[in-house]
Amino acid sequence: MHIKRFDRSFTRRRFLQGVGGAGALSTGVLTPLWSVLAADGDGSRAYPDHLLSLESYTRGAISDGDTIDANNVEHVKALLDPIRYEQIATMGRRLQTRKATTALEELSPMEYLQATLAHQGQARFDELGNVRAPDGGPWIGGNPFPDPKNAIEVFAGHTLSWGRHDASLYAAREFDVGRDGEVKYRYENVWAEYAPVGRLVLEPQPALPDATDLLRYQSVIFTAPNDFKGTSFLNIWPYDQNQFPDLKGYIPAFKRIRTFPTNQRFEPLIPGSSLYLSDAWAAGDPFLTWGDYQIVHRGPALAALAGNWNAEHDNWEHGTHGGKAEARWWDMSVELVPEAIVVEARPVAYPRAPISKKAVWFDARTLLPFVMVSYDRQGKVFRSFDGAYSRYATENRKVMDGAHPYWSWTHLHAHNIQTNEITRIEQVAKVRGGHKMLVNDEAVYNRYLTTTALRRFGN
Amino acid sequence: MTKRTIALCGAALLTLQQAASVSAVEIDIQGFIRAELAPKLTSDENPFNQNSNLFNGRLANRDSSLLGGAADTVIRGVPDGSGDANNWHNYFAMRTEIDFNAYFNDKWTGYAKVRGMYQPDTYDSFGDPNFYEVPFFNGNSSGSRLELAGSDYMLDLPAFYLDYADGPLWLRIGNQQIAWGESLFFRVLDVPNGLDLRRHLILDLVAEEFADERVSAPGIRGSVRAGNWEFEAFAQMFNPSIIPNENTPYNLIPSQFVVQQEQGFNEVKDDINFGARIQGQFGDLGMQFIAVRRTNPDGVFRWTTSNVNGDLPGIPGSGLALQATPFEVGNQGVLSAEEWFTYAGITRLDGVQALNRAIGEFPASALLGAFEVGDSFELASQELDLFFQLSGGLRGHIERRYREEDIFGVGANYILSAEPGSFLDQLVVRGEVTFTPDKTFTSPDLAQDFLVEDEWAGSLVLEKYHRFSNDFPATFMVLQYLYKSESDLAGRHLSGFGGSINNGPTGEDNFQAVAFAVQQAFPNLVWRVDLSVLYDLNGGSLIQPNVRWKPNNDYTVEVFANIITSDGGNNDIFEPLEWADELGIRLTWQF
Repeated sequence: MHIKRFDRSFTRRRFLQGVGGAGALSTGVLTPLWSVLAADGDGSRAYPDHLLSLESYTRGAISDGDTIDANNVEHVKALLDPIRYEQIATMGRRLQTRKATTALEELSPMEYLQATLAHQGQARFDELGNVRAPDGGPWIGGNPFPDPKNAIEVFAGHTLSWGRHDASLYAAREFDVGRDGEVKYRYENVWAEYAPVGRLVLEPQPALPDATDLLRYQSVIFTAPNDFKGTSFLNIWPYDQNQFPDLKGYIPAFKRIRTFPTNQRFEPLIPGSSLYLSDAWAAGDPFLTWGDYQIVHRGPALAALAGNWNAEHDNWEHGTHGGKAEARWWDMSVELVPEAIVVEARPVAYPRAPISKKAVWFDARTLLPFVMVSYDRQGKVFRSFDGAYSRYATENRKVMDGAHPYWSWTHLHAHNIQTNEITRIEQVAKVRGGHKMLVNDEAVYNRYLTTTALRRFGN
Repeated sequence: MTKRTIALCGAALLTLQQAASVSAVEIDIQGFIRAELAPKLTSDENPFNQNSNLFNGRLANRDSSLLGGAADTVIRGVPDGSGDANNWHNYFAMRTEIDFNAYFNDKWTGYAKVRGMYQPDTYDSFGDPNFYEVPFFNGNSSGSRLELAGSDYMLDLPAFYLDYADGPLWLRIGNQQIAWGESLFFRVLDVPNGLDLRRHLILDLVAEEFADERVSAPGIRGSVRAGNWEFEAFAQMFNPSIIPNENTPYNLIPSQFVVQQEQGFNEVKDDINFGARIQGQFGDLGMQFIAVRRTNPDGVFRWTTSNVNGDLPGIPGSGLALQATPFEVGNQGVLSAEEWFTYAGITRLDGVQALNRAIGEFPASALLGAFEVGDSFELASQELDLFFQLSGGLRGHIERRYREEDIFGVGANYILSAEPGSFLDQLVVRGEVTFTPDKTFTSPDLAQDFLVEDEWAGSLVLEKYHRFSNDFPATFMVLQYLYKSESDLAGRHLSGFGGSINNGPTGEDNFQAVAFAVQQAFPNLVWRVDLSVLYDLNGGSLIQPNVRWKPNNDYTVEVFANIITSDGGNNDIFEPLEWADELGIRLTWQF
């Protein structure tokens, strides 16, 4: 029986709550989302049917398994950010649809979910705006605000733990695509993250005793091509999110470690790239160096949250399509997310940033970002960053993160819509130089996150 | 290769074999081929070469009348009659570098770089230029241990080592460069390795900070981290700095002089340099302390016997005496006192006292009637002209020796915080200071006893990325100041500065220079423009604009210029290079 009270109008009205400062945010439509997730491990009971199925949402126009392209994108325009819509409508991008993933355990690492549940309600902001545990120490792991009431809670939780693992080494291949759709530059790198606080797997927990004033070690080390092999940058993030990370770098031409100022985070690290440090995980800067956080939209969206690991390829490499060389876009599977929270923020500590604001789409169930759109100083749409995630498990093949299947990002686009230059990056099993994906491995720190490591890779 | 090198490389290979035996080895090969060209921007030629000597075709007055001789004139010619140099370029070479990365297991990795250089003989010089052969290693032909060289090619392994990493411990075993310090142009803390100046002198891109010039050598380097501190130490075999050969494009020593390098090198070739560094990071403040005991790779120079038995024309048997002096008869030598003093000034030597030392410290000189002249410039001039008239030209012989020294240094950098977006915000302030007690310098009179003095060197660096425009990436700017108490950037003692054709050196109290560099990348970093300026406060400068274009993955094009100026006076570091204005062009294809 159709219950009129919970029709699409009701949903729209419900999604206006918390938007633009209109009251406190309360996720879920039919019932508070977090309580459903905590009870069921699945948020379906919080949403009406038309938010749980793409076929239902589009009234049969698009079904799971269909491809979204220029011919049918109008049916899902409201589910897309403006840049992805433009990419599909005019630039040959296609999205493969799949059945919506509802089990929470497929949408985040298990330990992160368990800690989120175990630590719910314990987080608070201190007088500087940093997230603190009940004892005043750094946050103890998991998402501190799984039931967010405002925009900054959404952002803070994600910034504290990008990859949701204690230690990660992502082996990655980057392709920078020019206006003509041809790949102009190819790079291989490893991207390392290591958490000194909020540790859930590695010992000691929840923090390294002598590093409680730090949030994160992060580095990127290029392993190819030859002229950038050994180029590396090491960010050491203070826990205080008002402070910039320390930035060290090794440029092979210099043959030595250099100290770099770190407030210039809005430019590519390498030629041809459309990716900035600030783009990382849509939260590449300390969250208190941004401000004017506000929720600007709530509603269903299309996101690549699962089924994006290419287990068929030995090195997990993904297919592409579009452009003359069929190399402009990654092949990507998307699904209906019943509720996305779109948060806008402004770069208040970066008065010379080339962007005026960014808008980030979060899945309300996991508070995981899947799209970011930034705007230039004139307010025009400038760049986008859209990523895909997956649990690395199929019927025939699995990658474990310890006791559970590995969950992580799989591939992403960074697109400068004003120049039409696109950077594609994918996570692979290994890149040149013997570097293989690692997760929750203590060795990540010593091998990839010290100045000694940078010097060693710099040759 | 010495036994010690063989032993070190053998140990590395044995370890490599053991590492490889327990795990599959993954090898990654990448590299590039590059054409490097430096067309001249003026018609000036290198004055230190035979066929571009400043006195070629120029009337020089000689006068030995006070000593019973006569006044005459002489016009110097290129000894082989080939005529003056007329080059359109200073440098043309093809380079390839191939990198081999080997992954054995999580603890052991290996790296080798093969560098090949071929420099065709398109340079108009006196005879066939010998671009690369240096009398140090491998049958007196190579500049470093893992190198094969011929007159127009060199093939070497600037890197050939194993890395071992286990937790906070890191070891690097094998042939390697060690680069310390962070100053541009100035090598204050960058003391472990000498420089190889054979290829493009120091006129490569300034931003590369001597990366291609730093001489690698076999050694063991390791570090261990503890909290905020990192302790690093190395032991590395000695390798001299390599100076360009005579009559090559960037030759730095007047070719009227023969440099004897073998004996001095043989005495120290087995020396080991040691160094230690402690680095700590405390918030925005970084500190480092170094101590190095090294055989100074730059070496020091002094007169030595020519060992050439050639008679003065018309004086049979005089060659027996002459061979025990620093001179030989030859038309590649100096022909007039004017030439002697001119070149003494350019090379920062004391022409009068150098004559005295060549006579007083080599008793055989007296057998030829030579005598010391005290401080008399006039008498020195007369005596020199007399011998040049008698000989038809005298070629001087100097030898290169190497002395040990201890260097103690401290460096600090601090990142300022200010109003976001203001110029002071994120300004990096960096200072480096070294003290070298009893450092040995070449004496400007080329005496057997070298100068020994304490030297201080320091640099202050301000470094800033600043975004001036919303449309362009941040501009990188660096401003540096350098102070040295006893010698210039090339290590020449300041007491030899200020000499000329008319007078001996007046000396300088200290050396000071300022450097400024700016780098502006264009959006997407496909284009980048640089400007680097080094200014000697005594009135000389090197100005290097550069444009870099990387249109795609495979190709890179770099075009830069080296503009060198001097206000004369033989008291700045650039006057001897003022002739070298040039374009630099690099076309690189990588694979």
